[in-house]
Amino acid sequence: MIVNSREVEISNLKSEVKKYHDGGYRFVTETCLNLEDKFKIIYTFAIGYDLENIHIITDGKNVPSVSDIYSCALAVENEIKELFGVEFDGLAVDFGGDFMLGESSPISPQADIEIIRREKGGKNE
Amino acid sequence: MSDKSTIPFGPQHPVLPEPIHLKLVVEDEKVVEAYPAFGFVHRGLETLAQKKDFNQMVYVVERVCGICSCMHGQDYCEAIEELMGVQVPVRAEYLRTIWAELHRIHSHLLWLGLFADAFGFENLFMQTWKIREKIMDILEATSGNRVIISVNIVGGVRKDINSEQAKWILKELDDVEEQLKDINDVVMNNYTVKERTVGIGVLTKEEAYELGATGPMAKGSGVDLDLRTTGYAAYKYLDFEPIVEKDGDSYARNLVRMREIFQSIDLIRQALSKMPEGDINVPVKGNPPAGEVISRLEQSRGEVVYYIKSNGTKFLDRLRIRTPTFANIPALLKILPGSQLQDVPVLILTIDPCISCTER
Repeated sequence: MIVNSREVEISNLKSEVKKYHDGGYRFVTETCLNLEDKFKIIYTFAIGYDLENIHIITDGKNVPSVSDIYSCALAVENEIKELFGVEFDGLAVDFGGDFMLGESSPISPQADIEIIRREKGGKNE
Repeated sequence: MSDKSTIPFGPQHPVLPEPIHLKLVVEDEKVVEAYPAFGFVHRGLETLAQKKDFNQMVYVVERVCGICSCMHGQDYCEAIEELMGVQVPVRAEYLRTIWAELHRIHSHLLWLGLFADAFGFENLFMQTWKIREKIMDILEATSGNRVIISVNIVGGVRKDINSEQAKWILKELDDVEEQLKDINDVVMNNYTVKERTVGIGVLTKEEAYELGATGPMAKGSGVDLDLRTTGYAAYKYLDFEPIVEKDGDSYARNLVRMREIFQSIDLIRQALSKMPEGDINVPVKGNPPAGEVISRLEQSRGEVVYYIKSNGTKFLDRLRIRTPTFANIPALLKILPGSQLQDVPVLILTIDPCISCTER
């Protein structure tokens, strides 16, 4: 399926996601992409076998977590947080950087821009 | 009076085929909380898409996971083909389907053996793995490899199955089916199996849907979703219905996988009888045009989602793989609290975890 995602404002993100939830859509995944100095996060939902996508453009700070609407989003949001350094506000469970990476892992290894989220001390490598 | 204790479970544990770490908070023998940690085999394969060209990436995605290897390659190739507007020959669609179903059989048999071993039923473990060897022999005879068979390429497949091989495969499948019938009786009716699985780790249909569970994890809870019914590859030419159980416990998930093995045998028979003569691939020239595509298919463990963003060069901008085990982690975290410590290995294996897939 060629992706046709609709951009939503960050301020409207949760209300948009809530509409999908209340409309009976299941949560499929979130996909984070590097833009030049920002991130694009695509939210994918499914009803039956049909997919729908929305996306936000963010600088990676204070992105509202949708894990209070779809609790299963906590896994992928923890992963994005660790691999890209995106900060989510209101994560249902924050694994504190121990979900996908270890203590000696590089910081935000998939992010093009340098966002350092030191939660355990040490230096960016 | 009861006290809470925290017990580390994994990453090295006798029942775990792959490294996952769980911090289990227990009250006496009852699990009250579970926190997962991964990353022991994280390889950053997604980022290789920016360094290897899109044809080389077929080899990379086949190594996301050995057991789902063929279907990772297939989904990636189908995504690139959609982006490039490539229509693969019908014979290639059938061949992809046959190899995918062979993988589903050997994946489910591998899982069943590990599952039996998790609750001490070693004889069942040995029997299932003995039967699985016949499937591995078929893979080796038709592709040259047992596990990572590397048959998919952008534009079709690189190997064919001739009529002599087809006859031999059908004969081997008859043997496999006969032996599976004996095991099927054990899996469905044996006291030990039922004691350790019936009513254990119940996930309701609503919970499975809400938590985004997929594959046998969702089907065992009554969620009637199987991407093969959308008709990708040669499934559009074959007759089948998704296999669904309603009880939502470990036994129901067990039954789904067991019944899917028989279904896969039937699908391979159908595919071999209907497969037309013709080319097995088409030449693909140039690079994928700029664009984004999502491709999905039904792996043994459930729905795998490939997102690809191309920039018009031979290197992809972004490859993202949402694997079925990753989708089933929230469901695992749902069924662990409230369980007995002795059931934790059974519950972990009941999602058929592939940590290699999860970490990519």
